[in-house]
Amino acid sequence: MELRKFNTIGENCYFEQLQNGLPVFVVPKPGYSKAFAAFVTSYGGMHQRFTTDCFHDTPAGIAHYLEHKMFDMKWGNALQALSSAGASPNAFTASDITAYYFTCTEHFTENLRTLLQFVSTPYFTPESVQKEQGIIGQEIGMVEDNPDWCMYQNLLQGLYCHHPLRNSIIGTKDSIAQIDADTLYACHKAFYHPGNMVLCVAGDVDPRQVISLARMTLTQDKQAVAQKDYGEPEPAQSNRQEISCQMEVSAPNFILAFKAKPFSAGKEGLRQSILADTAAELLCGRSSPLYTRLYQEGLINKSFSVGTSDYPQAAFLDFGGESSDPGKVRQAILDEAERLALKIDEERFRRTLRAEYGAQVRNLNSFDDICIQLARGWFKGYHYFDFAECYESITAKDVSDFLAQTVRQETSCLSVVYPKGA
Amino acid sequence: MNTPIRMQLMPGVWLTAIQTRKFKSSFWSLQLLTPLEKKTASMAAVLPRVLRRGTAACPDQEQLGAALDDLYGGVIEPAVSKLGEVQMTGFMATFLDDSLTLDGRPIYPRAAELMGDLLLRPATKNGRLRSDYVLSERQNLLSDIKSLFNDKRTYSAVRLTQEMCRKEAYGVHRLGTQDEAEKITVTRLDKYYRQLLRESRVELYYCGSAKPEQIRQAWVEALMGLPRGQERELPETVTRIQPEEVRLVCDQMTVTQAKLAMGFRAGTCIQDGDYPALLMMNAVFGGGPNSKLFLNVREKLSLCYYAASGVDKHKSLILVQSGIDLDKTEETQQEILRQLQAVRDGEFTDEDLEGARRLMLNQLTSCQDSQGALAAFYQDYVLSEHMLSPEELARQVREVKREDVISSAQKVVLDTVYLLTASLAEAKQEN
Repeated sequence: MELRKFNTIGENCYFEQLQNGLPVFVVPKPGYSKAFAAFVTSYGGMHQRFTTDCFHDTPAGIAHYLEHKMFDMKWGNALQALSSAGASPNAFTASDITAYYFTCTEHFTENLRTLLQFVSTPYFTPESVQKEQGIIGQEIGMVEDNPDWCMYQNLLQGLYCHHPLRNSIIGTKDSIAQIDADTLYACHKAFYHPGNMVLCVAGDVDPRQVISLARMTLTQDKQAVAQKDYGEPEPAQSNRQEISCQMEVSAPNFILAFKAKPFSAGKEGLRQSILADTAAELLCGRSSPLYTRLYQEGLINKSFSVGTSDYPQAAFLDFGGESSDPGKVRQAILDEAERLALKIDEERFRRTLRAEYGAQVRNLNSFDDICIQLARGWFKGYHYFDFAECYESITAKDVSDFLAQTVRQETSCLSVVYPKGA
Repeated sequence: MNTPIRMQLMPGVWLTAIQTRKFKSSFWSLQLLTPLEKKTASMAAVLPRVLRRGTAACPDQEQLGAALDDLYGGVIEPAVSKLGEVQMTGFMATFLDDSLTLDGRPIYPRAAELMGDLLLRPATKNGRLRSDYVLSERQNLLSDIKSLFNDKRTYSAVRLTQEMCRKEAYGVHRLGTQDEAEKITVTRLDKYYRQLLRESRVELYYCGSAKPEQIRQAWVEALMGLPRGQERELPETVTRIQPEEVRLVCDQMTVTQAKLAMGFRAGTCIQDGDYPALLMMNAVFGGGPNSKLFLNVREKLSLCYYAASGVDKHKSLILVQSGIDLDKTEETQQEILRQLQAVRDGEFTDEDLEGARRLMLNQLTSCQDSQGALAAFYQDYVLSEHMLSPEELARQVREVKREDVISSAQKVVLDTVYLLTASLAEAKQEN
C-alpha cells in the first residue's frame, strides 16, 4: 500500500493495485461521520463495439440496461440490502463509465462487501430481463419528452460524424428489444472484471481494511482487457453546424458546442482539460465582458452555463441556456474567440486561472466528486489530485492557441429547441 | 469541530461563528430579519438580487466577477427564506478556505468587505438603486413566482400553506405574490431598502478555519456605516391554533395525477421541550422509507406514487403530501388519517420506533459533514434563547420514549385538506 500526500490541496491518498489488476484508492477524511464508496467500470454507453476472443456489436443502451439488472441477486435485491443496513445506494451510466456507489454513517464494512459482491456477480433470468424492457421503455419515453435531453442528443449527432457518443446511452425502444440475458452476461464478462474497474473510498476508514476486504471478496484471477472500438478518427470539423427541433418549452433553449482535438492520455490530458475549462470561462464565463454584455442585452439569462466534456477520442466545449436569439449568441462567441486568439489580458488570465483552481479545490468537499474523478483519472492515465500542479504550467498563450484552433464556425454545432409553433 | 460562538457586534447585529479545518471552503451568510408581510415580501425577495448586480466599487457583473475571481473564485448568491413568520433576506457565500490559498494571503477580510459592500454600498444612479437592475430583477422574480406552478408537487404544498394560514402571516410565500412583485418600482424599493438597513436585525454566520475573533473584526469593519435606528421588533410566530373545522380546498387543472396535501397543527415548535418527540413522531408517521405512510399507504395498499410527511418546526405544522390516481382521493385521505390514529393509539412496534430514531440520528450526524446543512441547522436557532448543537439535539432524540411519541401524536389536529385534481365535478363526486 502506497501513501501519497498532496499538501497544497490538503489531501492524502492511499493506493494499491491488487493482483487481479484492481486499483484501490482510499482518501482518508478524519472527522467525518459519513463514508462513501464507488465501484466503477470503464464501460458506458459508447462501448457498444468491442473485441474479446471475437468481435461484438451490441445494441445501443446495453450498458445502462446492465446497470439496472446488476442489483438483482439470487438472494434478493442488493439495493434493499444496502438500504436496510443504513446506506444510501445508487448507480449511474455515463458514456464512458458505469458507477455503483453508496454513502453511509454506520456498517461501512458490511455495505462495502455487499457493493463488491453484487457488482461482480451477474444474475439474470430471461423473465427478469424481459420485465425490465417495460421499465426502461417507460424511461425512454420520458427522456424523449425532455427538451434538455433531446437538445443534447441532437448536439452529439451534429457534432460527430460516426463517434459512438452519437448513440443514446439509454438506447431506443427498438435497440433494447434486442437485449437478452446472454448479451448481458457477455458484456458483464468483458467489462466487469477487476482489471477494467476501480474501487474508490473516501471517509474516516481504515485503508488496510478496505484493501483486504476487496482482496478477499473479489476473484484473484487476472483477465485480458476487451479492446474497445471507437471507429475511425473524427474529422476536425463538425458534422452539421445547426440542428433544431420544436417542443413544449417557454423560450428557445440552446447548446452551442465546439469540437476540440481529443485530449491526450496521461497527465497531459488533465492539463488539457483544465486549459479547456479556463478557455471557456475566459471566453464567456460569468466574469467575462462578453457574459456581462449578453446578459445586459437580454440575449442570455441566469440559466446560461459553460463547460467542457472529455471522452475517449472526443472532447468539446459547450455553452448553453435560454436565449431569444441563439444564432446571435454564436456569432458573439465566435467574434470574442477571434479577439482572444490574438491577445488575452494577462491579469484577467491569472485571475480566471486562480478562480478555476479555487473552485476545483472547493469541490473536494464532495466525496462523490473525489471518488468519481479519481476513477475517471485512472482510466485516462493520471492521478486526479495532480490537478494542482497543472495550473502552474498553463499560459495565456496556450489559451489563445487553443481558442484559435477550437472555436471556429466549422467546428461548431448549434442545437436549439424552439417552442412549438414558433 | 468547535461549538459555535455567538456574539453581538453592534446593536441588533449578531454573529454565529464556527472554527473548523474540516472543510475546503469557508461558508458565510448575511441575513436581514424582518416581519413576514404580504405587502413587503416581494420587495424583500428582490432586494438581494438587485444588490448582487453591482456595488459602487464594482458596478457590473464583470467587475464583481473579477473581484470574486481574485478571491479564488468565491461565490455569493442572493438568498431569501422564512423562519416562521419572520422573513430572512440577504446573501449566502462560499470561498476557498484560508488554509488553502496559494499565496498565503487570507481571503476572509476581503470576503467580508465584499459582502459589506454588496449590502451597504450598491451601484446607484442619482443616489438611488439603478433602475435597469431593479427592472430586470423584478422580471426574474416574476418568472420565478410563475414557475412555482410548473412542479405540481411544490405547487400543492404552496397552495396548502396559503389556504391553511390565510389569516396568518405565514400564508405569504417567501417570494411574495405576483401582484406585489408587479408593484415594485425603483422609488419604492429604494425606500424599503434604506428602511430595512435601519430597522432590521442582522444575522451573520461563518464556518471555516479563521478564528471567530478575526471574523468579528472583519465584519465590524465591513459593516461600518450600517445605519442603526430603532430595531423593528420581530413577531413571535403563532404556533398554537385550534382549527374549528376541517376545510377542504380543491383546484382543478389539466393533470393526469392528483395531488393530495393535508395540513395539520402540531402544537409543538422548535423552542418547546417536546420538540424531539415531535421529530420522532413524524419519522414514525411519515418521515422516511420505514414510516407508516410509506409502508402502508404507498407499498401495501398502493394508493399513491408517494406519501410523506414533513414538519415545519417554526410554525408547528405537519404537512402530508401525496401523489395519487384521480379516483383514489377519498380512500387515500382516510388511510392517511387511519395511520395517524394508529400512532396516537400506540400501534407501532419497538422496531418502528428504533428505525425512526436511527433515521433522525443519522440525519443529525451527517448534517455535520456538510457546511450548508450545518448552517441551516444553526440558522433555525437564531430566534431561540439557547442555540442547540446537532449533538445536543441527538442526545435529546435518544431519550424520547414511546409514550412521548404517542402524546405528541395526540396533540396533532387536522386543519386543511388541499386537492389538486383534473376536474372539480369529479372530485366532488369522489367525496
